[in-house]
This record gives sequence, structure tokens and C-alpha cells, in this order.
Amino acid sequence: MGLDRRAFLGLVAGGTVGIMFTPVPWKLIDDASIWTQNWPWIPKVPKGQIDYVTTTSKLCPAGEGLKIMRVAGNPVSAGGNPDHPLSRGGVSALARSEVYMLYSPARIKSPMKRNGKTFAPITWEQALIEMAEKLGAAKGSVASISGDATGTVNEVLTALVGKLGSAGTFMMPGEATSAAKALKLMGAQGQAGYDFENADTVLVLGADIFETWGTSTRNRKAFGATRPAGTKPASNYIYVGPTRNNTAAVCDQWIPASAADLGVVALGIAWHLLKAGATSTAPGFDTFKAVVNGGYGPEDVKRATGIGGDVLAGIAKTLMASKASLVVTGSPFGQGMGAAPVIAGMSLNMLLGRVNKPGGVFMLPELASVVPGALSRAAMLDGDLPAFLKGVESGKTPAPKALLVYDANPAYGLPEAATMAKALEKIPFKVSFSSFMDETAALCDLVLPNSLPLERYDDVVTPYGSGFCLYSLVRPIQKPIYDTKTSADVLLALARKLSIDLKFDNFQQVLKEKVASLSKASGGFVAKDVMPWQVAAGKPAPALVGGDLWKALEAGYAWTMVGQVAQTGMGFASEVVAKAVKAGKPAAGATLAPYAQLRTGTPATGIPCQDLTTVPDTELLGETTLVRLNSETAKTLGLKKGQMVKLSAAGVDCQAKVHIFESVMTGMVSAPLGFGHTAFDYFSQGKGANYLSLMAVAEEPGSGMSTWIASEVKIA
Amino acid sequence: MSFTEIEKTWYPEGVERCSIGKFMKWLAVLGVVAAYGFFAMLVCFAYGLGVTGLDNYFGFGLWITFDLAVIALGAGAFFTGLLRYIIRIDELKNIINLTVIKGFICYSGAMLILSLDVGQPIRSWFGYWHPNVHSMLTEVIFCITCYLLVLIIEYVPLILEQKQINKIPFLHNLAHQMHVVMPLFAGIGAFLSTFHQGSLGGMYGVMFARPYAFRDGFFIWPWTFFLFVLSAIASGPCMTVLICGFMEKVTGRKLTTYRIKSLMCKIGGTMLLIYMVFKYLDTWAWINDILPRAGLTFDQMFYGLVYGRWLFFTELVLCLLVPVIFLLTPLRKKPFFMYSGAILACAGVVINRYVFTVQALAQPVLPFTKWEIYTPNWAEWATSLMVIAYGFIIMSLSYRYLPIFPQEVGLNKK
Amino acid sequence: MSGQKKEFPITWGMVIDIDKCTGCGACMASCQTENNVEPQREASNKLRATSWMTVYELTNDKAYPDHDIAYLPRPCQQCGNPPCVSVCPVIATEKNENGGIVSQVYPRCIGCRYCVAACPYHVRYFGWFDPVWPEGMEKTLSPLTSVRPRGVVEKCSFCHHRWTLAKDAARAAGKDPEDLDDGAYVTSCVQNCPSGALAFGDLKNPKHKVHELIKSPYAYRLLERLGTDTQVYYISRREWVRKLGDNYLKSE
Repeated sequence: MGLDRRAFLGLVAGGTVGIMFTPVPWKLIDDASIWTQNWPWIPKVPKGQIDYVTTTSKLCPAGEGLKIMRVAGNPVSAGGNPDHPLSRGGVSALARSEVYMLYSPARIKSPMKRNGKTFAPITWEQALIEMAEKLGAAKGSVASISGDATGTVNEVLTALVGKLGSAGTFMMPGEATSAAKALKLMGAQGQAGYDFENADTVLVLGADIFETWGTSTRNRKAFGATRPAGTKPASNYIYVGPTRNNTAAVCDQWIPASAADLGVVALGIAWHLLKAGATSTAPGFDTFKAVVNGGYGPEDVKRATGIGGDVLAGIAKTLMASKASLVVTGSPFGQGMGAAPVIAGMSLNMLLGRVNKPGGVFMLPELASVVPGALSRAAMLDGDLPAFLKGVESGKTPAPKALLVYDANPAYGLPEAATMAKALEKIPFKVSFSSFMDETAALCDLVLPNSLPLERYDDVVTPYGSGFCLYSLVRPIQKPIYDTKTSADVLLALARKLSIDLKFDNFQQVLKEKVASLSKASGGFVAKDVMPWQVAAGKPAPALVGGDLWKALEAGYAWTMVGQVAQTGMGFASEVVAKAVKAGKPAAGATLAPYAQLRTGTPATGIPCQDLTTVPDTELLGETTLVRLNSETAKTLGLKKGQMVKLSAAGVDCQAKVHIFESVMTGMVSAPLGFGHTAFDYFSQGKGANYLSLMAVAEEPGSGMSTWIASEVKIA
Repeated sequence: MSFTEIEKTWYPEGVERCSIGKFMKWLAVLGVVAAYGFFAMLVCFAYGLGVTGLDNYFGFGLWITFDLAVIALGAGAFFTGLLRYIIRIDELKNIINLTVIKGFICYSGAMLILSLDVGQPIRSWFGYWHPNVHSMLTEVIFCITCYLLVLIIEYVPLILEQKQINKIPFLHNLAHQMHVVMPLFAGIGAFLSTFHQGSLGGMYGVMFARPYAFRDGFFIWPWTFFLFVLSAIASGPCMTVLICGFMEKVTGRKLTTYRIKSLMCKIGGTMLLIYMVFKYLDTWAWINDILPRAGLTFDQMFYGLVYGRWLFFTELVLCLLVPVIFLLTPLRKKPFFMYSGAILACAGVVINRYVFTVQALAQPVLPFTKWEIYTPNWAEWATSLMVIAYGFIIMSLSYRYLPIFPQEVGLNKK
Repeated sequence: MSGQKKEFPITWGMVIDIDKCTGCGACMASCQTENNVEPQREASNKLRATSWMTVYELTNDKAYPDHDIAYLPRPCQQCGNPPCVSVCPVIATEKNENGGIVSQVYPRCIGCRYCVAACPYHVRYFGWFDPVWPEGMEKTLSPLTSVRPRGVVEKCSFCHHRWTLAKDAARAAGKDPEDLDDGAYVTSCVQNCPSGALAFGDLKNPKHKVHELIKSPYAYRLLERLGTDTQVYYISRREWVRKLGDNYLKSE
């Protein structure tokens, strides 16, 4: 049988046409388009019923209420809870990370024990035995550091450490630390709360109120509410500080001043208020007046800060003319401020008669403790961690035999980081309860991972800055993903093992008791239809519904209370002011003015991976962080845009690239915090430098507290 | 008979070629370049276009510039075909084969790069299945693929004329029949090619939110549509002459007469003159109408070195006015001026395609954004070089074994 | 060829009060996870990083102390006359649904990036690599937005899936899904903005706040003179900020 050429070609041609009429090529093409949508290595989105549950953000210091979207019971995203007074629907970039951080590569997946330079996983039982043994031996010399500024867990921690024999129970220093010290020196009681919602003129001295200071999400909501888009604002915000930071960017006025001079500025304004006849019956007023008139007249202030008398006179006039003025003092980077500037700022509130008034400062009562032997928040805030660790490092203070670190990262998040790390090394037995492998956990002997807030019961109690007392519940909406436990439960179990009676078996009981105690506080209510600032403004407080408060809290509502501690003897603490409020020394090189942002996390969280995209390339470029200075400063220092420089201070060097940014005061170098991690995961590690390590700690005259508000740096 | 002997029987009738050893070395060098590019291509396919220097600011870069440039320079094929078969300038038969091969190389090379350049090559056929008739790019996809088919149809008879293949009666006849219908394909080719050359220009001209590229126009076609056609048919013949001249230099043999080359350059020069008139008018309208309408000035269209004003003047004076003078005056009789003119004309088109592709994207339209710099990386260069090496290989093989130049035998008689 | 403007009964739009934006990045963070954008390890190359919502820093270009800054959040502008739609060769991006949201059909996109070139707002992002999530984190993917493979272009969709949810909710509540209450449908960035700088609604619906807001004398849009007719409005009381919304000749 032969196939001639003709037939062959015919067959080929016919075959080709024929195949075109079959579904085969079309099916293949169609399949190709389906393959390109379903590559096996592309993750599939989860399927299932969508629902929403509520809790409170614990990673974010602003303590927003959260509304978590779940799919088939698994959390997928965190949004703000519109019903929560600290959120009103808003959420910070950090609080948004609560869900995906469950799977952060930096998470510690099981208890671990140091084995030379590495860690080996152990069981919880082994961990407890080890800890009980070591802590039992360290009795009388156990210290603790907590980075949780708002949790009842601190009661468990301090009660336990107290019963073991405390060598010091510390909080990580923050805005609350300076404020508590200031109030103590002034003879005041309670925690300062700022009623932004009802204020119409707000003078902000340094505090980055819309980013890192206090209840920043709530602050912004309050700010936004007084400024309907496209119309004349119903509020006036004035910012005084070294840079036009995130807060100053939206304020009506920015007055450049070094962070070291904020107290001087406050007293300079006080001079104008006094001149205009402001007076007070509070103790120490006469001395205060004498101090102010003696050294803070317009000429003195201009010499010290460069701010003209007319500017301060204008501010004083605005403050006096407004119905509800408010003065807020804080550090531009959330820590390191001394007590004196806060006292000076608070003096303005007193001169203006704004203490315990709507739209002013409320002295909020502390909620009752439930764990016997626990320290009060005020007592905890009284500890001076940098001073303690510096003492340990230099040998002046005996090193404690054991240290418990809860939700804190002192090896990274303190000034003079190198000194602090050396001090930590001197402590023979250290336990970290961190959820993430942070710089401090990496130094510890035992790492006992805390479950993340979405996996545990916890609470938020009146965060610093809140204008009202608040209690908000954190509840588990997901089983622990890894072999982690709620640290408070671990502490309670440890207490049992050491035969220490802390009254409770588990943390949930503690919280229930705490909630039960709220029901007894008079004036408390669940913020639902009526918000606490409305009550502060005069609306009657709703009664606490007789029903189950716990249930309401689990439903995401917050318990709030508008109230104040009656002040007996709150005075001007003028002797402290006289000693401590002095103009910062002009720096030979430049003054470091750090700034912090929630999008780079806290020292305890590292940079949340999804937030890295929100960091602009004027802050982090490749692996280098940028520092900002204005063109005049750059010229004086002989620096050019984009130049690589070395910042040196406190015996530490940090690399940086120069970014010329005109909204920085002359003589200042503005540097972002939150970078330069050596631990955590690849989203945090090796990204830029930790400029906090350049900040030198000094003792504030008058108060004796550690401050690091503006340090001199050399730039080369 | 040894392989060397057999290989000699594959040559066209009556010509000499270099030794097979030398030829293999030449191919080996090209092969290395092509293989490196092929590796880069595999890397692109395996990991994604992230391995290139492209980004979200410069979605188009070296590859698109390269494509547009080779497609423009490859335009000699359709235009010479048009003149040869439709307008019947018979003399051009002496160079038409070269233009066809050049066209085939340019278009197939461009297709290769395009398949790399799209993020989802497996979906390339969506251009036919879900066409958006309003998109200039749809038209480009249509015309380029169709025109590549035409070029293949034009190239096949050339291959069939190879001495040994042509001995097979069927293929001999097929080649003959194909030659007979060639005017038809030349016509189709001219139509398709004109349209996609235009559409490539139209692609830029329609970007009404990109003032650097945007142009008003006639009916649905922005002026760039016509300018791209004109610049392509002006530079295409010049490129053919350059290739021919280059091949003569490399092989040391005369392939066509100077007369033919001069004719091609005259054609190119004439088109260049027409292009120049319209390009100048267009530029004037762009500066005085389009830009002010967008609130922008001429000065704002340039930045630094790579986007500098020097490019503008190089393109419009040195590479447009100067070659027009070189190619359309008696200067053309001197090889130096003719070749220089051709080189400048081609360079001008390449610059034109570059600025429309890259500078148009680099120019910040939002007032708070800034000029960005684009630097092609190794993956883009390697693959582009691969296409050039591929072109050299095809051309070398064609020259060695196919009777491309009818005048070669006569011109090289000793 | 500048295409024609289509009119829709509903026109979803955003109004951004620049004077309230502190530049914190919460909108960007909200968008990333709402829309299944992978966490990016090296996100400082802004020309490569994917960020459907991006906050730009604006300055008045003066030296200290007269310098001023503002932050401008930039979602997709959802142009009334989109430069990107007409250029797409495969109809992978369209503006033809009520609401006026410019769609992006990922399974159809061939990744030619012509739309990326055509958009002057830089809202379009290409998948340069396949997306990768840290181990386990894919469990937090949103079921409402598909995960894009590499090689396609993606952009802000005004959280279109939330509109679908809002319509479902309206139907379930016996309300008209085509006449949603103000706030029933808002995007993730708008919902989570702590300053309340972002507002969202139907620009044509007098019951929606944005309907009034866009009439403010301080309202403007980006690159209006190019004729893109965007559905995102900005508000600022500062003239220099408004001036940065478009290009102006010296004589203007």
C-alpha cells in the first residue's frame, strides 16, 4: 500500500482542518486559561461562613476595640469597632496587625530553654519545674519588667514577685511614667485623663498625640469630629515640638521648640497667663508665680528657645479666650520626658482652671486591685527602670538574682541600649514571656511564649491619656496556634508550685473578679448609646444595666466611668519646676529628636510585616534608615542629601542616610524609632538602625528621675 | 564525499563562501550570546518579570523600546514589497529578498520578546478571544501576528529555492506558485504592516493622561499613528541598505549594486523628508497646544541626562534634518554620506521609540511625584541580545545557502 | 481617542480631607490585608512595592520655618473617563457597572501593562513575582478578594466585595439594595481611618454625606485638566495643597 505525496498532504491538511472542528484544541486552549488561574503554588482563599467577633487590641498601646472578621471560625482581619469608645471604628496600623501577627515568622512556637548560644524546646511542665527551682533559689532578689501598661496581668506579676521577695517591679518607661511622677510631685491623686472630645483649644507640648501618645486612635477620632470636612474647624490645635510630626502636620499651628525646652515654653506661656491675671488657690502658687516671673519672661524664653514673646502671648490669649482649653504635655517619641515639663504643662491647666472640668484634665481614679499583694499602677509607675539597670550595670545596685520580663523588650526599647543589655547580662536567671523572639528573649535563659491577644483572655484598663476610666476585655477568638500559654496562667501555676497563694487558679478568674469589682464602682456604665465624653459634658450617665457585665464586655462594649478623684493638696511643685525647668544646652553637633510611629510597631512587637509597605522611602531605603534635618542644619554640618553618615553618642554609632526635610527645627536631627532590630523576623531584622540607643540617660534635678528627651549627637 | 564537500553543494549556484570551519566558529560565537539570552528567558519564565529592571513606574522599558525599534526598522520588508510588487519598481527585485528576511527576523524576534514581556504568556491569545476593539494594542496584536504569517509565507519560497531543496519537483513548483501569488501577500502585508506600525504609534498617542505622549489626531487615529508609519517606512529601507552594506563588509563580496542601495536610500530619504515635515508640525502643536492644555511646559518634559533635551535635538535635527540632506542631495553618491545618512535615520527612529516608551512614563504627571530613572538589567539586555544573535544566525544561514542576491554572481566575476 | 464618559445612576466616590490626614498609614495597612496583598519583605523600593492605597507626602517646597507638609492618600481614582480602560487589549478592565468602579478582571489580564503606562496616578500594580505569605499566614487571607498570581495587573477596587455584602445585607433587611443608606457600604481604608479623614458614598445620592462634601469650595480633584473626571475628591483649606492637585502654567 503506498501513500503518495498528494494523499499525504491531503491527509495532513484534512486532518488539521478536521481537528479544528473537534473540541480538542478549543478545550486545550480553554484549559490553558484555567491553569493560569489555578497554579497550585498560589494560596487559595479560605471558604466558609463569615462572621464578626469583637475584642480589644492589646498589641496597640492605644487600646482600640476591634471587630474581627472570621471565616469558618478563623480570624482573617481586624478592623475598628465602631461601638468602642477608644476606636469608634478607627484602628491603627498596629492594631490592624493583630490577626496576621498570629502567623508572624517571629513567633516563638513553644517554651524554650537556653542551651549555650541556642535554644532547645522544652515542655511547659519542664519549664515550670525549672522556673520554680530557680526562682525558689532566687527568693528575695527577683525583679520584673512589664511592658503592658494597661493589663490586670500586672497585678498577678507584681503580687508574685512581691511574695518571692522583690528586687524591683518595673514598667517599661513611657508617657505614663513621667505623668505619674509629675502628679506625685504635685501632690495629686489619680491618673491624668485628657478630655479631647470636649476641648476646643488644645495646646500640645511635645506629645505626639495622634501617633504614639496615649489613646491615639481615640485622640484622632476626637480631633476629626471637631473638624467636619470642608468647613471651618470647631477646634484649635497648637503643637509645640522639634518637628512637624504626624500630629503637627494636622495642627493649626506648629511652634518649633526643642523637646528639652518644652518646660520653658510652658512657663513662658504661664508668664503671660499670670500677667493677664490668672491665679490659683492651689498650694505653692505664690512660689510658682515668683519662679515664673523670675526667669521666664518673654526675653528669657526667647533667649532660651528662640520663640518670640508675641507668639507665646498669642497662645496665652487663645487659651484664655476659649471655653474649653486643654494643655497636653509629653515626649515627641513617647518616652524619656522628665516630670518637670509635665508639671509645667499641668500648671497651665491649673492656671486656666481646667482640672477636673469637661474638656480639661480629669484626675481619674485607679480601679481596685483584685489580686492580694499586687502593686497599684501608681506604685509600679514609680519605678525607674533605666536608673535601675544603669545601677546594675555599673555595680552600684546589686543585680537581682532573677528577672521576669513580661511583654517587654528592654534590650531594645530603652535608651543607651548597649548599657541596658550589659545590665541584663549580669542577671543570672532571666525569663521572657514574649510572644515573639525579640532582643530580650534572645538574652534570656527561659522563653515561655505568651499566647497572642487573639488567643487569650486579657484586659485593657484605662490606658494613659484616656479622658475617662475604662475597662475593656480581650478574649480568645482562636485556640493558640502554637504551644503557647497565657502568661498570667503560667504565673499563677508557678505560684501554686512555689506554694504561694495568689487567691486565683487561673487568669480568667482574676478577670471575672475584676469585672465583678467594676459593678460596685459607682457611676460606671457600659458605653453603648451614651459615650463617656457625653457624660463628662453633662449628659446623665446611664445606669449600669443589671445584667451580666461580663457578657456586655465580651460583646465588645467597654465599661467606662466618668469621675475624678477629689484633689487634696494638688499644688504647683514649684521647687521641682525651679530646679528642673531649664533651657536645654545648645548642642555642639546636633540634637537628636527621635520620633516613633505605630506602623513600626512597639519594641515588643517588632515591625508588623504588612506595615512595612506603609513606611515611606524617606524613612527606610533598602536596609538603611534616614534621618531628617533641614537644609540650614545640613549646611552647618556640611552634609548633603542622600549622604551616608554615622551618628555617635552614648558610646554607640548608628548608620543613617541624610534626608533633607524642612519641617525639622534648625539644629535638630530627627530620627525614626522602631528600626534596627537584631531579633524578630526578616521583616524587622537588619532594617536600619536603632537610634534610641544613642539617647543618653540623665537624672532630672528636683525629681531625680531618668530622662532622655534630647541628646547631643555627633554626625560624620 | 566528505561533509565539507557536501556542504558546498548546498550553496547557491556560482557563489563562493567562507570555509565551513570559519562559519561554524562564527555561529558558535552567536550561539553563545543566544544561549545566554535563552537562559535569561528561562529565568524570566520561571521566576516572573521581577527578575527584570522593570517596575510599576516603567511597565514598558527596554523590551518595548527594542520591539518598537526592530519593528520600525523591519518595516523595509512591507514597504519594499509594496514598491516591488504593487507599484512595480522592478529594480528592487535585487534587494527584496533581503528585506523579506530582515522583516521576518525583526518580527519573529519582536514576537519572542513580546511573549516574554507579557505577564501571562499563556493568555496571549486572549487578544483574539476577548478583543477590545477600542485598544490600539488589540490592533497591534492582530496585525503583528497576521503579518508574521505573511512574512513566513514570503520567506518560505526563498527557502524552497535552496539548490538541493529546489530539486524536488513538488517543492520547486510550490515555490513557483507562491512567487506568482506574492503580489497578493505583499498587498496584505503592506496593509497589515501599515496598520500596526500606525497602531504602535497610536498606542502612545491615545494616552490622554500622559501629556508627553498624547496627541490629537484624525478621526480615531492620533497623529503619532501616521508619524510612526512614516518614520518606519523611512528608516526601513535605510536599515536594509545598512544590513546589505554590513554583509558586504563582512563577506568581502559585492551583493548588490551601489545603484540599488542608492535607490533604497533615496526612497528612505524621501519618506524621511515627508516624516520630517509632519514631525515638526506635530512637535510644534505639542509644545504650543497639548502641553499648555495640560498645564505643562516644554521645559518640564526633560530631566537630567537620560531624559535630557539633547535627545530631543538629536532626534529632530541630527537624526532627521541631517540625514534628509545626506540622502536627498547629490551627497548620496558618496558612500560616506549615504551610509551616515542611513545610520542617522535609523538612530533617530530608535531615539523616537525610546523617548515615547520610557521618557513618556518617566515624566511625572502628578505634581507631587518626581522623575524616576529606569535602568534595564541583565535579563532584559541578555534577551534582547539573544534576538539580535538570532537575527545574525538566520541571516548568516540564509546568506550562505539561499540565493538571496540575484546580482551576486555577476558582481563577483573575476 | 479619549473615550466617552458613561453615566451611572450610582457613582461611588471618596472624599479625602487632607487637612485631617496625619499620614499614619492605617489606610494602607487596612487595604493590604483586606485585599490579600502579600507582606513585602523589601517594601522600600516604592516603584516595585504593591500598595493599592498609597499615602504621598506633599510639601510646599519652602525652607524652614515656612515649610509645610500634607499627606495625600491615593486610592484608584475610579476615573469617569479612565485612561486605562480603553487601552486594555483584552477587556480585562472595564467601567460599565453601575457605581462607576473601574473593574480589574484578574483571570483575563494578560499582563501587558499598557494600563499601567496609561494611568497618570500610578494606581496600577503589576505582579512581578508570585505572592508569598509567611507559613500559615495564608489562613488570614480574605475570602472576599482573590489572590492574584504573578503577571497580572491589580489595583484598588473600592473594596467592591463590600458593596456586594452591603447589598446582601440590605436585601436581608428588606431594604432596597440599590439605595443603600449612607455608610452601609464603605471601603476598608475609609472604615479604619482613625482621623475620619476619609469619607465614602454615592456622589449622586443627596442622602449621602459625600454628595454635599464635593460641593465645598475647598474640594478638588487630581489632574482635572486632563479630563479623567475622577470619582475621588480631595479637600484642603490650604491653597498650596490644592494647587498641587494639578499642573498649572505660570500665567495661571
